[in-house]
Amino acid sequence: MEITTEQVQSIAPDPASVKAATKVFNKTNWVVEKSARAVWSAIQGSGKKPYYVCVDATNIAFKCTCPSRKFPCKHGLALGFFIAANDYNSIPEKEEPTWVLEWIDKRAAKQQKAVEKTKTVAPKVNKKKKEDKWKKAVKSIEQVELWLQDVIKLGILEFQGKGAAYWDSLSQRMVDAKMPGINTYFNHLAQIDYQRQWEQPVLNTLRSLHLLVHAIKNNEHLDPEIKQEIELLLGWNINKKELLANNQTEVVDDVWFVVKIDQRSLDNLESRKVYLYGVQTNRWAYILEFAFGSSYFADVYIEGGMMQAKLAMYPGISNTRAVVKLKGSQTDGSIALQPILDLALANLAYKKQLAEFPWTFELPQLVGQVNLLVQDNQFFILDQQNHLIAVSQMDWDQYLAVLSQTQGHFFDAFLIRNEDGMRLIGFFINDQLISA
Amino acid sequence: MGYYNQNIVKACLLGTNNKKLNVKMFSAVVQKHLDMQKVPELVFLDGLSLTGAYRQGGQQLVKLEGAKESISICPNENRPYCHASVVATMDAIFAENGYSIPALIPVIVDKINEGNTILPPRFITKIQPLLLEDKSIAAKKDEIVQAFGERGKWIFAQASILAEQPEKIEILDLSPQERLSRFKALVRQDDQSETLVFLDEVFKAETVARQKNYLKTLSVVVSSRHDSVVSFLGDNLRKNNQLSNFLELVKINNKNSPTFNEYFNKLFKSIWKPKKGVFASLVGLKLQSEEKLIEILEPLDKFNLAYFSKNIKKLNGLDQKLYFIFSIVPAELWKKELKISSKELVKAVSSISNFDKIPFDGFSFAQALTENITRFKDFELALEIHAHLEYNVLDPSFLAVMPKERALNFILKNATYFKEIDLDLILFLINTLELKTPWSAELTNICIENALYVRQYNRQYLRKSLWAGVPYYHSSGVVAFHEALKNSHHANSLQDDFDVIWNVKLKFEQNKY
Repeated sequence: MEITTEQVQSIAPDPASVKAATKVFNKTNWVVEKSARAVWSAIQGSGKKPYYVCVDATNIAFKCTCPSRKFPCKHGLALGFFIAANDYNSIPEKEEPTWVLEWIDKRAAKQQKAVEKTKTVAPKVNKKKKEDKWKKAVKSIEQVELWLQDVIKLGILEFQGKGAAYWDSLSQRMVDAKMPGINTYFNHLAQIDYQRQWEQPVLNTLRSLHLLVHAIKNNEHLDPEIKQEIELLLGWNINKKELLANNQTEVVDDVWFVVKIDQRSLDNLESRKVYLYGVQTNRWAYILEFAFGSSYFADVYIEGGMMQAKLAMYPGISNTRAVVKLKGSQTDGSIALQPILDLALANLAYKKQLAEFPWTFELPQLVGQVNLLVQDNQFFILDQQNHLIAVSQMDWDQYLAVLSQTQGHFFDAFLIRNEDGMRLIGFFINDQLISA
Repeated sequence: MGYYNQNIVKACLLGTNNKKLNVKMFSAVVQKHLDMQKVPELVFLDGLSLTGAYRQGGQQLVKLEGAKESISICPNENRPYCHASVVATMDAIFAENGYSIPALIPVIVDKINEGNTILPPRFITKIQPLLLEDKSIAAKKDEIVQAFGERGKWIFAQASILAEQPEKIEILDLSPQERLSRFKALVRQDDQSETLVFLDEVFKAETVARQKNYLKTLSVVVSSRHDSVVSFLGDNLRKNNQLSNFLELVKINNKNSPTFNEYFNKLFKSIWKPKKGVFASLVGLKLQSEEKLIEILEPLDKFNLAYFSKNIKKLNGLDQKLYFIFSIVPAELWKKELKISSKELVKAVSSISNFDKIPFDGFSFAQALTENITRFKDFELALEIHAHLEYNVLDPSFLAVMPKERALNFILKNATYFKEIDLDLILFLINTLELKTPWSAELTNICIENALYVRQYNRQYLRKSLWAGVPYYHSSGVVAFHEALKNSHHANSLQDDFDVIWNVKLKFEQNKY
């Protein structure tokens, strides 16, 4: 089992947990043992009895007897730090104690049960319910159309004076109309900096929203795949259980690179988007999860790591959103990527995607043999044919970090293409995936 | 992406209420598809959508001939990476993010270069900002670049290219915070001509509060190279007493400045009474010249913001003022004026009651002298203080100015009294200080003693240290240590250590390091 200190830090629920775990790691007189499936130890806390902590070595999961509601807790992270700081082979191999045996066996049994369950349940489709939903959407979208017309009448100069309350009330109306996904557009308009070069982004957003209104109003003429994708866009999520149970759901079995984990906090809601790349199928996928209040994400992903998994894909045009159907063991196997040959082809693929689905916010792409270039204090991705695309969300630190690994050589880049250009989320060099 | 021309943008900004819709702003291709039966707003939105889709679909990538050839490749590396213990220690230092960074990075860098090894490149982005923010690290820039090898040199060169790129944003378009950040970066450069250009554009227009921030920023790094900047600021300050005081602070903080000399000389002339003798004078500071001392020190106290920021409580008492003197004024000046040695100075200062016994407000006079040593790197004084003081008033950054043998003995004697992370760093120093030196019997005995202390983390660190340091020790020394451990009457308690040390010995013999 290979894990680094940075990877352990990345799976901590918050910075306070990292600090607490570091203290536990430093203070503990470690006695650590392992088997083929797990690594475990006992850590003395403030109570009389020690806490028993264990890591599932094949599937990276944590277990601890402490009462903490954080996951992983500081003891789990501390054990992770120990594993990262020491030679794994030097940890003595012992027979699994009962508490480890029971936990690992239980996990394996749960996985097996999940597989068996999904084989037997048949899908239920409620056409009438779906049609009613669309009818309501057609009616509700009229308020968006009226709003758009008002904006054009009064002029977008008015946006400069709009505060958070204005955008919040619009968002609330969309939630009430059961189209919460449209809030993406209002959130985007709310976050624009109205002091600097704001007109073009605003016009783009209005354009996209207007097109969406038009599509919803004429939904009966839409291709089923486009319609499904719009349903996702509107926030009409397919229930995870239904997706897994549906025998028509596409399941992709592959070894996946965990390219990037984007985690965001908004008020009391944590969202996490995990970008995955299948090394055999060369498919992109992303897992989108939410944790509300004091709850934490159940699964652990490690940026730059690999995992064997069967992913159930949401239907639609882009076909990249997924949920994990079955997770296998961590794997360090070698891979042969098939990247897009150059930026021109990547650009063509992006334009094709936009032509098929104009509301594409982002398109993940693996592009081969590119490099970073700096011109007039701006960063660009450059290919072997001297094509350039602006890099978004890059700063000096990230640029230097990439340089320190690539040393100026061309590399295969994991990118997210959007209206602003390209965002570098990872790169592959010397047979290694490095998250950017 | 700019898909829309100025006419479209203008029309959208003003709205159809203020400017009637004119479809000619759209291209002929788009106009063909507009349904003029619709209300103007919907026609406009249709035109917008079609224009955006049309331009997006036709967008071509920029091609820059010769760009590929302009990419520079890093030259080959010719030195090996440093040992894993050094990397682990660097990680520990940056994880702590505290005082140990400026204290120990220079020491580590020197050892890396001495050993002809290099640091991994991932530390470059952690050290790069410190080159701009921390004086002691900036002073070691050449050594730091060297410690990263050819790759480091190449990357730092790229970073310099970035830094030299022309700034597109107008200075006055920067926010106040951005302007202050720019000033902070500029004052750290050797050449201050750019700082003057920058200040010329912005300083006069800043508010009193913002001018104060500029002064505070400068007071931390001020030296003789800032003379013209200080002069400019003085000429352009808004009329405000507080600002004048802050300017005085900036001048005092430059120990080469006339202002600093003026204060210092005033202090000596009024306070030191040579007739009463050196030690009496020092003691006299506290007992006999209190009023006079307060009169002279009072202005200094108000100005020393760096000191105030460390000591949150307001400085009222004489002890605190003495602390200030001992920590901020270079000891060499005392010694020169009083014509005394380091030994005599330490003895005299320590004769002040409560010198190192009970700290006040968290500090003691001994700590003041320690600060002095750390600030001015007075080697000789460090030795004297070490000889005189107990371990628990000194911190590990102090070790950087001690001679190797003294530092090693100090560490071994007092290691158990430091915090956990310090111990890790101290043990690294053991390893580095012991570079190319054989393991000694004395070290063996001291390590055994240390291994037995009740606080359990010691054994873990001992283990890590031995494990990490083995390549630098003679294997015979390790064997001797192992034998000594086995035969000591503490053998039972150290069973775990035997196994680890024995494994290490085997690996060493198998050349697995």
